[in-house]
Amino acid sequence: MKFGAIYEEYLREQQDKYLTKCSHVEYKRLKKVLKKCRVGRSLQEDCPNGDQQEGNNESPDICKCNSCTLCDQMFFTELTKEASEIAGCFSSRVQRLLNLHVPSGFLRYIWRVRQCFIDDQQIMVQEGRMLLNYVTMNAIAIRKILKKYDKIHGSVSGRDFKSKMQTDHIELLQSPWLIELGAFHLNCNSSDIDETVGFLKNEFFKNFSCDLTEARPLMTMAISETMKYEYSLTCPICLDTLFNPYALSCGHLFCKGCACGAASVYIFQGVKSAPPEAKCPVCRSDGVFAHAVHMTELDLLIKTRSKDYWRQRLREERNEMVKQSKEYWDSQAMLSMGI
Amino acid sequence: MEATAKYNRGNPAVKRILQEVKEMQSNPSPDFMAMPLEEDIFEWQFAILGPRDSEFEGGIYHGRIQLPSDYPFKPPSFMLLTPSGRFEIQKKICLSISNYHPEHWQPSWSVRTALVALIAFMPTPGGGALGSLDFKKEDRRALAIKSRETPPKFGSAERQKVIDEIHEQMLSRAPPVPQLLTNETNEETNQLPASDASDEHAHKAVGGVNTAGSNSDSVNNDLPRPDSESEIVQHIVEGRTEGVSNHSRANLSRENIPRVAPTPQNPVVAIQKPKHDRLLTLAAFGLTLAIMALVIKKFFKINGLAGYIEGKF
Repeated sequence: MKFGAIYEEYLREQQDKYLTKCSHVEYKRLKKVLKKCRVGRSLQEDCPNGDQQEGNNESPDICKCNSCTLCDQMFFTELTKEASEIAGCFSSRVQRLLNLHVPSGFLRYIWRVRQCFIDDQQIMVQEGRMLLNYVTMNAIAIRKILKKYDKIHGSVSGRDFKSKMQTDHIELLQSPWLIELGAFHLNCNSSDIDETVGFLKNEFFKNFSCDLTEARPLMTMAISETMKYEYSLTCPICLDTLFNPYALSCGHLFCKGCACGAASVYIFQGVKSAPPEAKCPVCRSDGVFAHAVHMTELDLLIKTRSKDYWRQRLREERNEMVKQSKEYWDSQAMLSMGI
Repeated sequence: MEATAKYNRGNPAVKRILQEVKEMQSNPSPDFMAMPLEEDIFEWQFAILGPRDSEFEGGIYHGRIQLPSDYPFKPPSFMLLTPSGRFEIQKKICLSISNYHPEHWQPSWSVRTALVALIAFMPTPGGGALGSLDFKKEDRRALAIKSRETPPKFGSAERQKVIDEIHEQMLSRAPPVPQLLTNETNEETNQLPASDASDEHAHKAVGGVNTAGSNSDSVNNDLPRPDSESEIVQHIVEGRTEGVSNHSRANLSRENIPRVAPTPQNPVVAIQKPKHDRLLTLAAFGLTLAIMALVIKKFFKINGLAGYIEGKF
């Protein structure tokens, strides 16, 4: 069964669901654009023969350049716009879902009161699964259309476009929100919720698994029995399992204490108070601390799976925070005294 | 590994270093070897093999790494102990991974990445950087052959034991010297006295030229004096016997430790007493302000009541 048919059926199902507001990859339309380009190339092959007969050498270059240039602009511009919309929609939906699961501040108590009467866990799990399927479908669609593009044109523009997507943070399967959603999925599966087998017929997303006991803690996402994505849960600064993790805008994960140390701010001031010129410790991108994402679901997952380690790290971080606070207020007192 | 239990595991720098030690032992590399001293985990000894297809091939170069107290947020410093013709011995090296350039350091780098970078830096020209040399290829080959015979003598007995251990393992791991090098070795052994004399002269001349170049590059008038002093000290040390030099270095190392220890304690003691007094002063001042405020409020209240009564009458 071809992916196009599967994708069409998936889109038809989505019409009934409440994901209609979200945009999808226009797989069929992009396919038609590529078909036009293929026809254009075959016409180009006919053009040189006719031109040779006529003795005119300028028209094949013009014809080729026009066709490919227009095709490139139309194709990649549209795909970039769609990928950006999908990434934005996915992150906003995940944020809304996770705010319900792990609320902060006053909302927590309201949520507790509500949970006494209504059990929304099942609905949240289903929505999470739907979001996972959504991002998986669109990511596979993008990959297949780029592969088809490279096949038709015999070029590496698709690969370059994919790497450009990664640098522009619109690569769907590298998003920290996907890691958050995976952690949410694992957190909910650990409870007594029944797994709905065969919930979606065309489901590509298979399973999320997490292993925190090995030397390299990993979170694995299995797609369609052949593709697997591994996300490392090790902080590249302290070389230990992540504790209170933050994802910078460039997608790299760090412990909160390590990120604050790298940006030269105190832990109680928070990661977002870092100066704009602070760079990512891994890829040296600047301006990535302002929009850092607090990975609350991932922290909850690590807390559940490794209780002793989490408790030890919490104690250490509290000691460090107390020490830094003392240091800060001592310096403030000295400043106010005029010493 | 029992000794590592002594360290303060709460310190994030110590935790990071212990993780690196564990990773270094579980995934040893054929090109280098590094391990910390038992008495101080921030002091490491390392040995690197000369890079292949270069004049350093077959050589074993020992060195020392000093990690800062806030590692990995600050870079370490590197010092080579085996003469190589590329880096000066017993002098901190200026590289983009060392503490001369903290702005280029990345916290995600480690001792392993630093040693890989150091091996890659060997064949590059020194360019007059601090701690760099530019010897001729033949001299470097001779030094590479010489470096395999005996490890350098440096530091305390425990450190020397670590150096010897590393040297033995690197010898067993290192590939044999290529045949061309052995031929050159035979030729050089035949002409030992004359070539030694000429090499020594060449080394001194080249060293002088490099130091002059570095001085002119830095455009600092203060630099030549400490350089000349260090050169004088090196000459004096070389003139003495090995035992005396070891003893003097041990004395220097012992003297360094007590100097550092009392320094941080004094300001702490000085800071605490004035802080306590100032807190009491602040409390007294606050109380005085509160009392004055209450008195003034009472006064205004009385005036208000009197005005009201008089107005009514």
